Amino acid sequence: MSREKDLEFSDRELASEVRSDSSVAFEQLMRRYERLVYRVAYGFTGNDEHAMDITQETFLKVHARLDSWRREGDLKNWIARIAANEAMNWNRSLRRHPTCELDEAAFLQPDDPPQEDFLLERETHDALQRSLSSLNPRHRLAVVLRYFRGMSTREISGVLECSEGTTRNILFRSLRRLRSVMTDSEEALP
Amino acid sequence: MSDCVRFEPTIQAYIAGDLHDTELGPLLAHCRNCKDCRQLLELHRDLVGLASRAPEPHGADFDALHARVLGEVDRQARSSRSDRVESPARAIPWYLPAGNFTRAVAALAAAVLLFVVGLSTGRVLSERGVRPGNGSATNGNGGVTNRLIKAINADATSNLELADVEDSRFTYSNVSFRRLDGDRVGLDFDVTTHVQLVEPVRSEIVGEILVHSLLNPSTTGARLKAMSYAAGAIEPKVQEALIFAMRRDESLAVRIKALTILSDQLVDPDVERAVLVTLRDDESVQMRLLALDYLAAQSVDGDRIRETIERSERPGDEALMVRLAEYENQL
Repeated sequence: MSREKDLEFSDRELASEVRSDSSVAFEQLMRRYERLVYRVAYGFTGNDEHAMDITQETFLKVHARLDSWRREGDLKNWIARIAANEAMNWNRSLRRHPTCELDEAAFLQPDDPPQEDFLLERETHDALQRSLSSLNPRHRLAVVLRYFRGMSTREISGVLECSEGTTRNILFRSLRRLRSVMTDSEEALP
Repeated sequence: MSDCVRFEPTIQAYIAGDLHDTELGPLLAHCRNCKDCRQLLELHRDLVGLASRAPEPHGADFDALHARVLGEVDRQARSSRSDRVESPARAIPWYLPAGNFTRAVAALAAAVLLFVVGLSTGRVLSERGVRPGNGSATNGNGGVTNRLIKAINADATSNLELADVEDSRFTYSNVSFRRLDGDRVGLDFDVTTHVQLVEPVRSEIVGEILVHSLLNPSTTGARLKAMSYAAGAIEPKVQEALIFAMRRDESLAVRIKALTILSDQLVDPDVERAVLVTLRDDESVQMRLLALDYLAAQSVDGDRIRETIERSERPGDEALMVRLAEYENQL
């Protein structure tokens, strides 16, 4: 396995090949980070189709801006930040041009067996997703990377370009904020 | 409340996934009596649950995405190249005298570029030969793809006459639609069709398709079938493909089959080296034992085999050493 690892190109080598117009290298780079980008996009949108579209846009941006990547920085972190920006732009544009999403619950037949679990799960899912949008972009990115990508505080601090202590603090404050948003919305129920 | 402040670093560590086991007990005890902190832990658990239910796209979804991105990058590159055709002439200020050397060089460069672009455009257009509106391909195989699109269009046109039957030689997969400006739609899809040919055994097309079927991610059964045929037609290119399959194929059955076929070629130093690498690196002990059997049967130097095994440091080395000792005792 370590031999296989040795044969892999480093990010820097891949980036240099991509700059020389190698589509093979760019495909390799996409393969390396597709799931990271998808997860960030999904964490920001909660919708798999949107996440795939954002992934596509992110890699187009990565290709176009690779010259501006600072080589001393970590390519993975740089890509994660682009993905987060793309996802936020996407959400902003959705707010400006809202679309109608299919509601799975609407397709449940009256005779179907009880779907309380499904509906309850979906309700929690939707409530959490809504409350995530109350976080500022930096805090939301930290939460997305922690939960949707399973990153350690050390890795997250690389993306956010801050210390591990600050990252821990951001995560803690984000969860407190989410808790208060969710509690408020529950209390607002009739 | 003061307790909550005391437990803040513990909760931070818990959320970050760095909490030591010994600290968990006191935290849970505190949470039994503290609603605020309990809600934080519950929220953490809900977020973990939410993330675990996130869909995981298939590899094919990402393959289609790569194709779309690479197609778009290619399209942008071609469009920027055609923009650059005009730029040398524009780069020379209009006020330079007509006989200026720089201007002459720029004009010459522009002429050469225009000639090259004109030549390639002419070739592309002659290859395409499709009527406007029939679409154009962006996968880099313009000629081939556009001939394919022409054939698909012919099928689609003939299907229009059928009331409720779709009869096509083609199968489409990974299809996606994108709405574009001007009442147009962007289509991305893979298309496959079945071809039947009778060709001479040693023809280039047979070699080409054999090598591809050994290497491409088709089914294990298809790769094994191709290997059975490859056993009777080992040419340098096929041998190379077999070595690749023996070293890299994810299926043990395919790797074993490739090794078995190549065992007849062990006199070739390239094959011998590849089998030694397999003996050293393959993740399967069964595969490594088989490699050892073939090497021993071909009387490859025992010391070389021993040295190879010693370098591997993989599980199964002991079994290999025992088998090697058996061979050495037989000798």
